Amino acid sequence: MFLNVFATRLKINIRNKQAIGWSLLFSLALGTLFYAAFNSIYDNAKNTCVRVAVVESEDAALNSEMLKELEYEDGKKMLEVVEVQYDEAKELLKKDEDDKDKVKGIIDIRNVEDIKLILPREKKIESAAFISSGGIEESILSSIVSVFRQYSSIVTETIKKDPTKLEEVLKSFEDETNELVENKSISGDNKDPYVSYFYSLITMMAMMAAMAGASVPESSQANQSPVGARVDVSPVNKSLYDLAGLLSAIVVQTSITLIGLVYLVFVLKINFGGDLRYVFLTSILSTILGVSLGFFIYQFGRISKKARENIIMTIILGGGFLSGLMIANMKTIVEMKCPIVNRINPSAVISDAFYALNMYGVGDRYYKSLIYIVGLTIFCIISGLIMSRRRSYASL
Amino acid sequence: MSEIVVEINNLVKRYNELIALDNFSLKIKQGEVFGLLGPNGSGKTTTINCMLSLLSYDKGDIKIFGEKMSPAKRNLKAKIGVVSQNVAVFDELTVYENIDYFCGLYIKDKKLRKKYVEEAIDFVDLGDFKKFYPKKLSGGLLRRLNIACGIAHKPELIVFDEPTVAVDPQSRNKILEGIEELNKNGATIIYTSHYMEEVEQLCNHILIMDKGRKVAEGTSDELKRMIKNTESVVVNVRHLKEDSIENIKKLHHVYDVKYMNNILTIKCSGGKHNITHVAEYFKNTNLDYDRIYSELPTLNDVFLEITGKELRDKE
Ligand SMILES: Nc1ncnc2c1ncn2[C@@H]1O[C@H](COP(=O)(O)OP(=O)(O)O)[C@@H](O)[C@H]1O
Ligand SMILES: [Mg+2]
Repeated sequence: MFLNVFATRLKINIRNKQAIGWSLLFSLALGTLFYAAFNSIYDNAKNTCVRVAVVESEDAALNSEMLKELEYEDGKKMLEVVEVQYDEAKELLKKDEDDKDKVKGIIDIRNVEDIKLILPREKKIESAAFISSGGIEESILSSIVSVFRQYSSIVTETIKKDPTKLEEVLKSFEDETNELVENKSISGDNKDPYVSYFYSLITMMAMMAAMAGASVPESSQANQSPVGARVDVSPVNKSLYDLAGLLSAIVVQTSITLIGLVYLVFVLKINFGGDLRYVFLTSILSTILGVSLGFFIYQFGRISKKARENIIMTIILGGGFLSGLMIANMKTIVEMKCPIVNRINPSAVISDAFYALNMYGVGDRYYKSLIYIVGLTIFCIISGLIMSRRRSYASL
Repeated sequence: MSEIVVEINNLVKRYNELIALDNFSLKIKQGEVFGLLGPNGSGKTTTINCMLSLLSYDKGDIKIFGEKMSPAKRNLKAKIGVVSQNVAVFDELTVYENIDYFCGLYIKDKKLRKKYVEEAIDFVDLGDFKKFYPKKLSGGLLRRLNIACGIAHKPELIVFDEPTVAVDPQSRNKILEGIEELNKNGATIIYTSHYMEEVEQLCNHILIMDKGRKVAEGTSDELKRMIKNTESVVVNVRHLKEDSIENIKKLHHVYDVKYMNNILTIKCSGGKHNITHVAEYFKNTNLDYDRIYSELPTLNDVFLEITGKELRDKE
């Protein structure tokens, strides 16, 4: 019975072209869309010349000449420097985005010991689903300034002691800045803000798999479908029957996730940062959690179909929202206000695992997230199977 | 002495305020084709679903093959076949695969199952459609597939809940013949319907129900003998006067006369030559008529006389 049910349900799932089509379309199309959108940002950001206000003092050892000299490898200037007084610089910073006088930041080099980078305060990098190009420009500025800080003292020293070596020092400053700007802040380092959008995509895919899990009880309970009534009047062991259905849903959904992931990694060549094997592992476990979750929720036979649909959509979309799939720092807010939600919200648990993998690599924090995923999965499956045992219904 | 296969005693089922079954009882003997006849909403499906332990109920007890039925009674379920009111098949599976899958819930042995599935396909005459998906089948063929899925495992007790609703006459006859054959092969049948003709043709024991209660029970003949009406004489006649109708009412054995849409219906109780008497009356009074014929009482008349309403709206 078990194998027959498993194999047939597998066949049913695979032949359900609509469901498979939507899941695949979701991952492939959205992945491509993200890719296209971010790639054009990458391209625009690459070799961007950032307009910046530099505030210097007459007598200071340091001046803006060094900054003006900075070039990308292709000879394009990194900065378009406007030398102004501090107050005027503030005004320029406040101007509208499309104003040609607008500067993206202020570098204050009046005090060599304390070089300041002032950015428009209200704008935070990675604050919305769409990353403004300002984010890239600001990260270029901060990269430059951090190197500039280190070198300013060396430059001051050099000017004092042996001005002939200045050129050499400047050159090394330029090289290092170049490297930092091109590698660290833009293209795919682990801390690349864009890769988190692909992690969100996988999280979303895993949660969508809940619908496949839901179809298992839906077709084995008399009050959920006519086919369910057929199963309920038959002499099968219900828990075993549902387990077979669950396994087939897991196999199909995991395959869909893998296809999506292979497409992202090998076709679009998205750099996922962390160890790829663990990216795959996390994705598979997440998908199994998604399927189990739908399985669990649809075992609640006593509540109406409408209510079940609402619950599952709330968990997928509402949970996704709270876990920061739509607003990046949402999860942090939840963590401060009500941390328990982040432990039991499946989307949060999954995205946390990816976050840990991305930021800290394979380690305690990552393993802890995996344990949460597996724990939630086991909870859903076991409770679901217990509920799947035979019963009569008050109404069909 | 034939064995009692199904016994339902004082069953009460409420849907919130609505009392769907009100102290309903029935007994079904082995080998019977038991007809449950009642208008839509009378509680037939509710009875069936309670019997199968799909529905919980408020009061009463249900025994099948002498054992108390419950959701966990897998030994009882193994002996029952159900053809439900709603078609229950997987759209993603072909005709053959559907039957095989549901049969597989009962029959583990692969060889035996294959044989049973083939037999079921022959039985409902779907041999040409084995590889078809349900979406490609007409309403009648779909019903036949639904039947095959319910009976392939050769159950001892088979429940048919309105299997002929929305079915073309050809498929309908096929279904009725099939049920007779299943019965001949030894299965006990429960057949619910709101079509009295079917029930009359098929069933050797009939229970008429209404509003969750038993109205009457017996063979078709027994039921008809319960009522006053033994014959209706119908005359197609135009412009009949009120005083003629009054005179006809006074004829021997006549107890009720209705005249509507140029059709005169004369209900008689007893008497052997009622149609002759009526025809003579028309002849003697020089009244012209188009047609005169006699109708024997139907189960609808039984239902009408006991409940005061028609079994079903004229379709
Ligand atoms: N799930 C339900 N909830 C509430 N009332 C129901 C439900 N199912 C059936 N009923 C009511 O119970 C009565 C009997 O219905 P049913 O058993 O389906 O009748 P039948 O099969 O004879 O047409 C009807 O009045 C119907 O409206
Ligand atoms: Mg019904």
